Amino acid sequence: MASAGSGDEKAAAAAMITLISSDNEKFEVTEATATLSQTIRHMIEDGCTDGGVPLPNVTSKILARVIEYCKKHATAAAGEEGSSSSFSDAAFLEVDRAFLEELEEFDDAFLEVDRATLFDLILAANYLDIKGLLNLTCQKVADSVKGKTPEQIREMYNIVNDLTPEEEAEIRRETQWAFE
Amino acid sequence: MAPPPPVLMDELIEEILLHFPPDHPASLVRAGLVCRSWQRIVSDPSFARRFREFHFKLGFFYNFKDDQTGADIVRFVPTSTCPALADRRNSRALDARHGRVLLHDTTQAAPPPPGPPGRLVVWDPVTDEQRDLPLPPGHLYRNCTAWNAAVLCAAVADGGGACDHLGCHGGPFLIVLSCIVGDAAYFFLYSSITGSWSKPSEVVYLNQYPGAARDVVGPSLLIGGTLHFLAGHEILTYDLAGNNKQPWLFTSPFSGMRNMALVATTEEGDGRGGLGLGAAVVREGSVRLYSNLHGLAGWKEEKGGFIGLEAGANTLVAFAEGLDAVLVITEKGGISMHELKSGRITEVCETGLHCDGAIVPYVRFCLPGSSTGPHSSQPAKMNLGN
Repeated sequence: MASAGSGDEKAAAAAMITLISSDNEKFEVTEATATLSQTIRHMIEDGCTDGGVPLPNVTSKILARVIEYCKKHATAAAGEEGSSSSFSDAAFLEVDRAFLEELEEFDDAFLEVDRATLFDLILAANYLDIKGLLNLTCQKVADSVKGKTPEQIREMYNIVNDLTPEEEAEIRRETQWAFE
Repeated sequence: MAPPPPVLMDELIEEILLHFPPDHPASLVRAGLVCRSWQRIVSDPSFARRFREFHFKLGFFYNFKDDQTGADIVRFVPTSTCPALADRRNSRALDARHGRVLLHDTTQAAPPPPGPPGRLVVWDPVTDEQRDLPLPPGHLYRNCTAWNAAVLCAAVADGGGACDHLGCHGGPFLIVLSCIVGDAAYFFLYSSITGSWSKPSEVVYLNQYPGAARDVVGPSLLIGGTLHFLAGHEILTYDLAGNNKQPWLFTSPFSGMRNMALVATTEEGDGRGGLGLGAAVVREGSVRLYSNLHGLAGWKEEKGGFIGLEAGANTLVAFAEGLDAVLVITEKGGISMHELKSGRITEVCETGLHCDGAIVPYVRFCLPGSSTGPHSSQPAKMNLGN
């Protein structure tokens, strides 16, 4: 198992990338952090990151949060890459548990945001193609609507009900078991 | 006051719905009442398939007979990590590995038992795709008194290094059929690449133990490139990856097929630092773990080898490859999972499993980040320059 440390060393040796938010704020990040985003990884591979990477769909407020997530997870990703070819090997199970727990605590704290920010993070994770962040934020939304009625879900996430009363009655009739 | 959340595209709504709990289907149905686009997504069959792909991690198949018709039924026991599946009638589950399940189709009236193996079917329970195999050639298997079969990814025969078995469930596979005819054992190999069965392997003559039970061949265990089948007092092995593809056998000191399972131990085992062959045995009121010493005759009880106390005469054991866990099925039908490496014990099913034979654990790995699998739709591509 590659230790978390080797990821840090790699990152230190790597080039820095400048990310530019929609409101024109610049963020300097290591390549290891930036390449958690597949979108940016492809741009680096294509050699078109000189002069910074403009991210017109992401505000500085959200980009700062995304970078915070990527920094923390860049070292974890370095470890995972080293072991993915031998997933069933016993070595995989020896992943440093303390590190994983710390990562989990970080993720929990990271998700303590209002609903608008959560949706903005989902949009950014999708746009930047950061699978881990997309999974994390989508899971948070899914958990938050657990046990809620359709009306409550609509209210929580600003969703307009465009089903006609007839359609709604029909769905309820067909799936009555789910409402008992 | 915080601004209202922005509107999400349908593919992101789908992504959120995908994260709904797999063991609570009602919550997805209710989500369908939120609005028209949510309804469209949850009622789409391709979403149902993605949902299964996303959540499937561990479940169990077991076989039983319908009380009224006597038909064989394969039933799935979901855990909290996967959604439920419908029963499969007129089938028995023999084996599951690398995302595939090997079924024995018992639709046609069976010849006098134990009879020859009928049609074998390889099934992917997540995508619901299946492939029917032709019958093996020759007369040997038609005269066999006991048999079993294993399914595995074809890369195992090439040394296995080329495949991590995380996403190979749609790829080429192999079937190894182990038959006992009289006092001899044979193997047949089927390859999905050639679509045909091999000639039978060389014969292995079984040892002459007085009263040796030869009417059952147990479920297979794959360690490295070698398959192991327990047959009475003997362990039949078939090496797919090595140069020597001749089968061989060695003795097991434990009698009674029903209450033991071959396991892969993480102890020194074969001396090369890999997994070793072991056995979980129900003995004197507990489940004990033994490891095999360097292949042949020696077996020793593991230190702290008690992995389940209060085991009764009807306690069953099975092994989940990949998870390296021994499954203990209690008399009440509950399943507890004992991970050999960490010693962690998880209750995966409380009660109600009424199988009379082996259970077949089904494990499907998902790598974090690639959990939606190869069939997922890509995140919407946007032009960075806009």
